[in-house]
Amino acid sequence: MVSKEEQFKKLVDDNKDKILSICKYYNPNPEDQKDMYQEILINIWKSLEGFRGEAAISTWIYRIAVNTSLSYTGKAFKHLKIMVDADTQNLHNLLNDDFIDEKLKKEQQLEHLQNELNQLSVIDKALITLMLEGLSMKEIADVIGITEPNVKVKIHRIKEQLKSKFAGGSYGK
Amino acid sequence: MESKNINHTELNIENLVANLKNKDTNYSKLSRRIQITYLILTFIYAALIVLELIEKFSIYSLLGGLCYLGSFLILIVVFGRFYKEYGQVNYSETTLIMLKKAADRYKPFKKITFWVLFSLALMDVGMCLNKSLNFPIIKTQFYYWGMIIIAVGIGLIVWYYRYKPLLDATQKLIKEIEE
Repeated sequence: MVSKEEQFKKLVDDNKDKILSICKYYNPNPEDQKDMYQEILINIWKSLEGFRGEAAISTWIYRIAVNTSLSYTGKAFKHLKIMVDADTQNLHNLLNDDFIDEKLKKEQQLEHLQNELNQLSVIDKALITLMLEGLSMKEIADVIGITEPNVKVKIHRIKEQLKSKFAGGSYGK
Repeated sequence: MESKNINHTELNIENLVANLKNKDTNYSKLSRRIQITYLILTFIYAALIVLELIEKFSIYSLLGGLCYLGSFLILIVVFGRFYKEYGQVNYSETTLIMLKKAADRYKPFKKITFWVLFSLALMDVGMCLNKSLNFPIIKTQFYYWGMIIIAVGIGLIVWYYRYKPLLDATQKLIKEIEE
Protein backbone atom coordinates (compact mmCIF):
# COMPACT_ATOMS: atom_id res chain seq x y z
CA MET A 1 0.00 0.00 0.00
CA VAL A 2 1.26 3.45 -0.97
CA SER A 3 2.05 5.70 2.00
CA LYS A 4 0.68 9.23 2.28
CA GLU A 5 4.20 10.56 1.82
CA GLU A 6 4.78 8.59 -1.40
CA GLN A 7 1.36 9.53 -2.75
CA PHE A 8 2.02 13.19 -1.96
CA LYS A 9 5.43 13.21 -3.61
CA LYS A 10 4.10 11.55 -6.75
CA LEU A 11 1.18 13.95 -6.94
CA VAL A 12 3.43 16.97 -6.55
CA ASP A 13 5.89 15.61 -9.06
CA ASP A 14 3.20 14.90 -11.65
CA ASN A 15 1.47 18.25 -11.21
CA LYS A 16 4.34 20.59 -10.39
CA ASP A 17 3.98 22.57 -13.61
CA LYS A 18 0.25 23.12 -13.16
CA ILE A 19 0.73 24.40 -9.62
CA LEU A 20 3.65 26.62 -10.51
CA SER A 21 1.74 28.00 -13.44
CA ILE A 22 -1.15 29.11 -11.19
CA CYS A 23 1.37 30.65 -8.77
CA LYS A 24 2.98 32.56 -11.62
CA TYR A 25 -0.33 34.09 -12.66
CA TYR A 26 -0.75 35.75 -9.30
CA ASN A 27 2.80 36.61 -8.32
CA PRO A 28 5.33 38.52 -10.38
CA ASN A 29 8.35 37.69 -8.26
CA PRO A 30 9.84 34.21 -7.69
CA GLU A 31 9.90 34.52 -3.91
CA ASP A 32 6.13 35.11 -3.72
CA GLN A 33 5.59 32.31 -6.22
CA LYS A 34 7.60 30.00 -3.98
CA ASP A 35 5.55 31.00 -0.91
CA MET A 36 2.26 30.37 -2.66
CA TYR A 37 3.59 27.10 -4.10
CA GLN A 38 4.48 25.94 -0.62
CA GLU A 39 1.06 27.01 0.70
CA ILE A 40 -0.63 24.98 -2.06
CA LEU A 41 1.52 21.93 -1.23
CA ILE A 42 0.52 22.22 2.44
CA ASN A 43 -3.15 22.28 1.46
CA ILE A 44 -2.68 19.30 -0.88
CA TRP A 45 -1.13 17.39 2.04
CA LYS A 46 -4.03 18.35 4.33
CA SER A 47 -6.65 17.35 1.75
CA LEU A 48 -4.95 14.17 0.56
CA GLU A 49 -6.76 11.82 2.93
CA GLY A 50 -10.10 13.19 1.74
CA PHE A 51 -9.40 12.50 -1.93
CA ARG A 52 -11.88 9.84 -3.02
CA GLY A 53 -11.23 10.01 -6.74
CA GLU A 54 -14.68 11.50 -7.44
CA ALA A 55 -13.04 14.29 -9.44
CA ALA A 56 -10.17 13.92 -11.89
CA ILE A 57 -6.85 14.40 -10.14
CA SER A 58 -6.05 17.44 -12.29
CA THR A 59 -9.38 19.08 -11.37
CA TRP A 60 -8.70 18.28 -7.72
CA ILE A 61 -5.25 19.88 -7.92
CA TYR A 62 -6.62 22.96 -9.69
CA ARG A 63 -9.33 23.32 -7.04
CA ILE A 64 -6.73 23.36 -4.29
CA ALA A 65 -4.48 25.71 -6.24
CA VAL A 66 -7.28 28.18 -7.06
CA ASN A 67 -8.85 28.01 -3.59
CA THR A 68 -5.46 28.51 -1.96
CA SER A 69 -4.65 31.42 -4.24
CA LEU A 70 -8.01 33.01 -3.36
CA SER A 71 -7.37 32.54 0.36
CA TYR A 72 -3.71 33.48 0.04
CA THR A 73 -4.46 36.64 -1.87
CA GLY A 74 -7.54 37.09 0.29
CA LYS A 75 -5.25 38.80 2.73
CA ALA A 76 -5.15 41.55 0.12
CA PHE A 77 -8.07 40.92 -2.24
CA LYS A 78 -7.85 44.40 -3.72
CA HIS A 79 -4.24 43.91 -4.70
CA LEU A 80 -4.77 40.58 -6.46
CA LYS A 81 -2.93 40.83 -9.76
CA ILE A 82 -2.90 38.46 -12.67
CA MET A 83 0.33 38.17 -14.63
CA VAL A 84 0.48 36.96 -18.22
CA ASP A 85 3.35 36.97 -20.66
CA ALA A 86 3.72 36.36 -24.35
CA ASP A 87 4.50 32.69 -23.65
CA THR A 88 1.26 32.14 -21.78
CA GLN A 89 -0.53 29.23 -23.39
CA ASN A 90 -3.98 29.82 -24.85
CA LEU A 91 -3.59 33.58 -24.66
CA HIS A 92 -5.10 33.73 -28.16
CA ASN A 93 -8.34 32.34 -26.69
CA LEU A 94 -8.98 35.63 -24.99
CA LEU A 95 -9.03 37.67 -28.17
CA ASN A 96 -9.20 36.90 -31.87
CA ASP A 97 -6.24 35.02 -33.33
CA ASP A 98 -5.68 37.58 -36.06
CA PHE A 99 -5.89 40.31 -33.50
CA ILE A 100 -3.18 38.63 -31.48
CA ASP A 101 -1.02 38.04 -34.55
CA GLU A 102 -1.36 41.59 -35.58
CA LYS A 103 -1.01 43.43 -32.36
CA LEU A 104 -0.19 41.35 -29.34
CA LYS A 105 3.37 40.81 -30.41
CA LYS A 106 4.26 44.20 -29.13
CA GLU A 107 5.08 44.44 -25.50
CA GLN A 108 3.03 47.57 -25.08
CA GLN A 109 -0.17 45.79 -26.06
CA LEU A 110 0.61 42.88 -23.79
CA GLU A 111 1.00 45.31 -20.95
CA HIS A 112 -2.32 46.85 -21.89
CA LEU A 113 -3.98 43.41 -21.92
CA GLN A 114 -2.48 42.72 -18.52
CA ASN A 115 -3.85 46.01 -17.21
CA GLU A 116 -7.29 45.19 -18.55
CA LEU A 117 -7.15 41.69 -17.02
CA ASN A 118 -6.30 43.26 -13.71
CA GLN A 119 -9.43 45.40 -13.88
CA LEU A 120 -11.46 42.18 -13.78
CA SER A 121 -13.07 40.93 -10.59
CA VAL A 122 -11.31 38.29 -8.47
CA ILE A 123 -13.53 35.47 -9.72
CA ASP A 124 -13.20 36.55 -13.35
CA LYS A 125 -9.42 36.49 -12.88
CA ALA A 126 -9.65 32.95 -11.52
CA LEU A 127 -11.78 31.91 -14.51
CA ILE A 128 -9.31 33.47 -16.92
CA THR A 129 -6.31 31.76 -15.33
CA LEU A 130 -8.05 28.38 -15.66
CA MET A 131 -8.95 29.13 -19.26
CA LEU A 132 -5.37 30.17 -19.99
CA GLU A 133 -4.29 26.86 -18.47
CA GLY A 134 -6.26 25.14 -21.21
CA LEU A 135 -9.01 23.65 -19.03
CA SER A 136 -12.27 22.83 -20.77
CA MET A 137 -15.49 24.63 -19.74
CA LYS A 138 -16.59 21.42 -17.99
CA GLU A 139 -13.34 21.26 -16.01
CA ILE A 140 -13.57 24.94 -15.05
CA ALA A 141 -17.15 24.31 -13.91
CA ASP A 142 -15.91 21.40 -11.75
CA VAL A 143 -13.24 23.57 -10.15
CA ILE A 144 -15.43 26.61 -9.42
CA GLY A 145 -18.63 24.74 -8.60
CA ILE A 146 -21.02 26.23 -11.14
CA THR A 147 -22.68 24.78 -14.23
CA GLU A 148 -20.89 24.50 -17.57
CA PRO A 149 -23.34 26.89 -19.34
CA ASN A 150 -22.75 29.39 -16.55
CA VAL A 151 -18.98 29.19 -17.10
CA LYS A 152 -19.51 29.70 -20.85
CA VAL A 153 -21.64 32.78 -20.20
CA LYS A 154 -19.09 34.24 -17.79
CA ILE A 155 -16.11 33.60 -20.08
CA HIS A 156 -18.02 35.01 -23.04
CA ARG A 157 -18.87 38.10 -21.01
CA ILE A 158 -15.21 38.58 -20.04
CA LYS A 159 -14.03 38.16 -23.64
CA GLU A 160 -16.61 40.67 -24.87
CA GLN A 161 -15.58 43.09 -22.16
CA LEU A 162 -11.91 42.78 -23.15
CA LYS A 163 -12.63 43.02 -26.86
CA SER A 164 -14.74 46.14 -26.46
CA LYS A 165 -12.02 47.76 -24.40
CA PHE A 166 -9.41 46.92 -27.03
CA ALA A 167 -11.70 47.95 -29.87
CA GLY A 168 -12.40 51.23 -28.06
CA GLY A 169 -8.64 51.34 -28.32
CA SER A 170 -6.72 53.75 -26.21
CA TYR A 171 -3.78 51.32 -26.26
CA GLY A 172 -0.72 51.81 -28.31
CA LYS A 173 -1.26 55.52 -28.68
CA MET B 1 13.64 31.41 -14.94
CA GLU B 2 10.94 28.77 -14.74
CA SER B 3 13.34 25.86 -14.43
CA LYS B 4 15.28 27.77 -11.77
CA ASN B 5 12.07 28.14 -9.73
CA ILE B 6 11.18 24.47 -10.12
CA ASN B 7 14.58 23.35 -8.93
CA HIS B 8 14.43 25.76 -6.06
CA THR B 9 11.09 24.41 -4.88
CA GLU B 10 12.18 20.81 -5.41
CA LEU B 11 14.95 21.33 -2.92
CA ASN B 12 12.41 22.11 -0.22
CA ILE B 13 10.05 19.18 -0.76
CA GLU B 14 11.86 16.78 1.58
CA ASN B 15 11.95 19.34 4.38
CA LEU B 16 8.37 20.29 3.76
CA VAL B 17 7.15 16.69 3.96
CA ALA B 18 9.09 16.17 7.19
CA ASN B 19 7.53 19.33 8.69
CA LEU B 20 4.06 18.35 7.56
CA LYS B 21 4.38 14.88 9.07
CA ASN B 22 5.53 16.42 12.35
CA LYS B 23 2.60 18.82 12.33
CA ASP B 24 0.16 15.97 11.65
CA THR B 25 1.56 13.99 14.59
CA ASN B 26 1.52 17.02 16.89
CA TYR B 27 -2.02 17.91 15.83
CA SER B 28 -3.40 14.45 16.53
CA LYS B 29 -1.50 14.27 19.84
CA LEU B 30 -2.77 17.69 20.89
CA SER B 31 -6.42 16.98 20.03
CA ARG B 32 -6.23 13.60 21.81
CA ARG B 33 -4.70 15.25 24.91
CA ILE B 34 -7.45 17.88 24.97
CA GLN B 35 -10.16 15.22 24.64
CA ILE B 36 -8.62 13.13 27.43
CA THR B 37 -8.26 16.19 29.70
CA TYR B 38 -11.92 17.14 29.17
CA LEU B 39 -13.04 13.57 29.86
CA ILE B 40 -10.97 13.30 33.04
CA LEU B 41 -12.37 16.61 34.31
CA THR B 42 -15.93 15.47 33.54
CA PHE B 43 -15.38 12.16 35.39
CA ILE B 44 -13.85 13.97 38.39
CA TYR B 45 -16.81 16.34 38.53
CA ALA B 46 -19.29 13.45 38.19
CA ALA B 47 -17.49 11.66 41.06
CA LEU B 48 -17.68 14.79 43.23
CA ILE B 49 -21.44 15.03 42.61
CA VAL B 50 -21.91 11.39 43.59
CA LEU B 51 -19.82 11.86 46.77
CA GLU B 52 -21.81 14.94 47.71
CA LEU B 53 -25.08 13.08 47.17
CA ILE B 54 -23.92 10.10 49.23
CA GLU B 55 -23.00 12.46 52.06
CA LYS B 56 -26.21 14.42 51.93
CA PHE B 57 -28.86 13.55 49.37
CA SER B 58 -30.94 16.36 48.04
CA ILE B 59 -32.98 16.43 44.84
CA TYR B 60 -31.80 20.02 44.22
CA SER B 61 -28.13 19.03 44.47
CA LEU B 62 -28.76 16.09 42.13
CA LEU B 63 -30.52 18.26 39.54
CA GLY B 64 -27.93 21.02 39.97
CA GLY B 65 -25.09 18.54 39.46
CA LEU B 66 -26.75 17.08 36.38
CA CYS B 67 -27.21 20.57 34.95
CA TYR B 68 -23.48 21.29 35.45
CA LEU B 69 -22.53 17.98 33.90
CA GLY B 70 -24.86 18.54 30.95
CA SER B 71 -23.39 21.99 30.46
CA PHE B 72 -19.80 20.61 30.48
CA LEU B 73 -20.70 17.88 28.02
CA ILE B 74 -22.36 20.32 25.61
CA LEU B 75 -19.30 22.61 25.78
CA ILE B 76 -16.95 19.67 25.11
CA VAL B 77 -18.93 18.72 21.99
CA VAL B 78 -19.28 22.34 20.84
CA PHE B 79 -15.57 23.18 21.25
CA GLY B 80 -14.60 19.89 19.63
CA ARG B 81 -16.67 20.89 16.61
CA PHE B 82 -15.22 24.42 16.60
CA TYR B 83 -11.70 22.99 16.72
CA LYS B 84 -12.41 20.66 13.82
CA GLU B 85 -14.25 23.27 11.76
CA TYR B 86 -11.62 25.98 12.11
CA GLY B 87 -8.54 23.76 12.13
CA GLN B 88 -9.22 21.82 8.96
CA VAL B 89 -10.41 23.86 6.03
CA ASN B 90 -10.97 21.63 3.00
CA TYR B 91 -9.36 23.31 0.01
CA SER B 92 -10.23 20.47 -2.34
CA GLU B 93 -13.91 21.33 -2.48
CA THR B 94 -15.28 23.47 -5.28
CA THR B 95 -14.51 27.16 -4.87
CA LEU B 96 -18.19 27.97 -4.34
CA ILE B 97 -18.61 25.39 -1.54
CA MET B 98 -15.33 26.43 0.10
CA LEU B 99 -16.43 30.07 0.08
CA LYS B 100 -19.90 29.23 1.47
CA LYS B 101 -18.34 27.27 4.32
CA ALA B 102 -15.92 30.15 4.98
CA ALA B 103 -18.86 32.59 5.08
CA ASP B 104 -20.59 30.32 7.62
CA ARG B 105 -17.46 30.27 9.79
CA TYR B 106 -17.20 34.06 9.79
CA LYS B 107 -20.83 34.64 10.83
CA PRO B 108 -21.07 35.86 14.44
CA PHE B 109 -24.23 33.90 15.26
CA LYS B 110 -25.00 30.42 14.02
CA LYS B 111 -26.85 27.28 15.12
CA ILE B 112 -23.97 26.24 17.35
CA THR B 113 -24.22 29.58 19.25
CA PHE B 114 -27.63 28.42 20.51
CA TRP B 115 -25.97 25.37 22.08
CA VAL B 116 -23.34 27.56 23.81
CA LEU B 117 -26.10 29.79 25.24
CA PHE B 118 -28.09 26.71 26.24
CA SER B 119 -25.09 25.26 28.10
CA LEU B 120 -24.49 28.62 29.85
CA ALA B 121 -28.15 28.71 30.89
CA LEU B 122 -27.86 25.11 32.12
CA MET B 123 -24.81 26.11 34.18
CA ASP B 124 -26.82 28.99 35.62
CA VAL B 125 -29.67 26.64 36.57
CA GLY B 126 -27.08 24.33 38.16
CA MET B 127 -25.71 27.23 40.23
CA CYS B 128 -29.18 28.20 41.41
CA LEU B 129 -30.24 24.64 42.30
CA ASN B 130 -27.03 23.70 44.09
CA LYS B 131 -27.68 24.99 47.60
CA SER B 132 -24.22 24.00 48.81
CA LEU B 133 -22.73 26.86 46.79
CA ASN B 134 -24.90 29.28 48.76
CA PHE B 135 -25.01 31.90 46.00
CA PRO B 136 -27.62 34.70 46.35
CA ILE B 137 -29.82 34.04 43.32
CA ILE B 138 -30.65 37.58 42.15
CA LYS B 139 -27.13 38.91 42.62
CA THR B 140 -25.66 35.84 40.90
CA GLN B 141 -27.96 36.31 37.92
CA PHE B 142 -26.93 39.94 37.63
CA TYR B 143 -23.20 39.22 37.67
CA TYR B 144 -23.35 35.99 35.67
CA TRP B 145 -25.43 37.31 32.75
CA GLY B 146 -23.76 40.71 33.03
CA MET B 147 -20.37 39.07 32.46
CA ILE B 148 -21.74 37.03 29.58
CA ILE B 149 -23.23 40.13 27.93
CA ILE B 150 -19.90 41.98 28.30
CA ALA B 151 -18.01 38.98 26.86
CA VAL B 152 -20.43 38.77 23.91
CA GLY B 153 -20.05 42.54 23.39
CA ILE B 154 -16.23 42.28 23.30
CA GLY B 155 -16.51 39.29 20.97
CA LEU B 156 -18.76 41.27 18.61
CA ILE B 157 -16.35 44.23 18.56
CA VAL B 158 -13.45 41.86 17.71
CA TRP B 159 -15.62 40.18 15.06
CA TYR B 160 -16.61 43.53 13.55
CA TYR B 161 -13.02 44.61 12.98
CA ARG B 162 -11.38 41.26 12.26
CA TYR B 163 -13.94 38.96 10.69
CA LYS B 164 -16.69 41.16 9.23
CA PRO B 165 -14.42 42.43 6.42
CA LEU B 166 -13.61 38.79 5.59
CA LEU B 167 -17.30 37.86 5.69
CA ASP B 168 -18.18 40.79 3.41
CA ALA B 169 -15.39 39.89 0.93
CA THR B 170 -16.42 36.21 0.95
CA GLN B 171 -20.11 37.01 0.43
CA LYS B 172 -19.18 39.34 -2.42
CA LEU B 173 -17.24 36.52 -4.11
CA ILE B 174 -20.15 34.09 -3.63
CA LYS B 175 -22.54 36.60 -5.16
CA GLU B 176 -20.16 37.14 -8.05
CA ILE B 177 -19.92 33.41 -8.76
CA GLU B 178 -23.67 32.84 -8.52
CA GLU B 179 -24.90 35.80 -10.53
